[in-house]
Amino acid sequence: MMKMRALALLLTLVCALSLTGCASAQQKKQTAIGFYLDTVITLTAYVDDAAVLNDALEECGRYERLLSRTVEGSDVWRINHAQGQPVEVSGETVELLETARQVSALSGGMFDVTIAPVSTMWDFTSGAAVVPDADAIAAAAKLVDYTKVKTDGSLVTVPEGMMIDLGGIAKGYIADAVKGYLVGRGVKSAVLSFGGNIVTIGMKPDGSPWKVGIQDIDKPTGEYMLVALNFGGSTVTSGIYERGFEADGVYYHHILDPSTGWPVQNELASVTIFSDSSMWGDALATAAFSLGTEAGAKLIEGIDGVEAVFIARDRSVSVTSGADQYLAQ
Amino acid sequence: MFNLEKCAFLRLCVILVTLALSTSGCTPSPGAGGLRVLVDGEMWKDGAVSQESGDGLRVYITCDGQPLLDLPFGEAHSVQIIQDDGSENTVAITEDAVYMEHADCDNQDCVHMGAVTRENLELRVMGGFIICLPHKISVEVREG
Repeated sequence: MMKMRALALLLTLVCALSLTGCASAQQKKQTAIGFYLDTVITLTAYVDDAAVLNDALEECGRYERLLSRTVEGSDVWRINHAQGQPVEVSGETVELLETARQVSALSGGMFDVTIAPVSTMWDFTSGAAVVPDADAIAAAAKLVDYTKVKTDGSLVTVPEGMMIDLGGIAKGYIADAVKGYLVGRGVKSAVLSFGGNIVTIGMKPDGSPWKVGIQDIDKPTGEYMLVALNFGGSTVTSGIYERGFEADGVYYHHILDPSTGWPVQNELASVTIFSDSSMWGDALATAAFSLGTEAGAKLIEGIDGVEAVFIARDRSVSVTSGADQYLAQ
Repeated sequence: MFNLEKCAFLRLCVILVTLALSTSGCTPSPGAGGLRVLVDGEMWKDGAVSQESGDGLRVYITCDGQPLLDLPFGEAHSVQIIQDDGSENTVAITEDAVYMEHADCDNQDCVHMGAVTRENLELRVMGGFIICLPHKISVEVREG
């Protein structure tokens, strides 16, 4: 992980106008790619100057240095190493913690940024496929409780032994922030990809909505079950196939139940959230998944301007009342 | 255009690739740092593979920002890229898909990014790209 963190690649491709798609646009389709928060980030925009996208990637780096759990000196790192003492943090971190607290409260604790003692025991990325010790998981799960995080202005206090990890919400927050940055720089048409978070600015140059594939839960990456439409908002999908491993015939995925420390076991394979804010979409995808189809849909129906698609392991699809507008027929 | 010193400070490797809209395509840089590109097991020579393409889609492969080669999408080939440090990537191009068949990188993200097809080109979160960050290999499917 540290190796990957040190390594970040910025790649800018200045593509000439192709004969289709963007033929009507005066501006060139340009893409910048970077690696932050263990995620490949792709920024594609119709702009005159690729420099704006590279500046946006530098913004991603700035946020990573603020919000990463593993970058020494970040706000999150300092909170986790304060041994129960108050820590002065940035306004961004306070805002994230406040939103996280709201989603935790709305979901009865099924989304919880104090998951770190548990999540750090699991390794879903290296391919090692090691199931953590059950007693250790049980002990770590006792340290998960979002209500113990206290904020007083810019001071944040987390009890000694507890740790926070903003992994379930920071990517969405950064996606929103980068979008705001690009809009401020005059970008009118862009699609920004932060792992499972897709955020768009405006429409495609031809005026049509952006299309985002929702992964077929039983097929290789890149084969889609549904096509989502994005009209300048956020589309976030959280699925069990994204990260996980199999050990002794059991599949362990990365969405952990804060109360037990084990992967959430319910009927769902993925949840997609449509919203304006990708920060909310990010946290709500995890929360709705963990709650299951019925309670998850109830949660989403109660929040204005947010819709969801639930795909169960048996391939059945459930949608909230206003989700149809976001699905291509 | 952008501040290289600042990027170096950020420990970021910055690459700027400008790909011209041209049917002649990019050529590999022979002997550059011992980089070897094999197409279907043969050392790559520009022009050895048909430059014609049915629907205009092409596969562009770069290494560390350096254009290595571009091939027509839809013509089956296996492209092996071996860098001077011994790192290897194998890009599979089939009649209807492009994917990273093999990489000896540590995170295997590129292998897990799946295939780019005509059908999913507009729907993939990364568009037509497959990226191996550890090896700085970029594969892009787009109109030539």
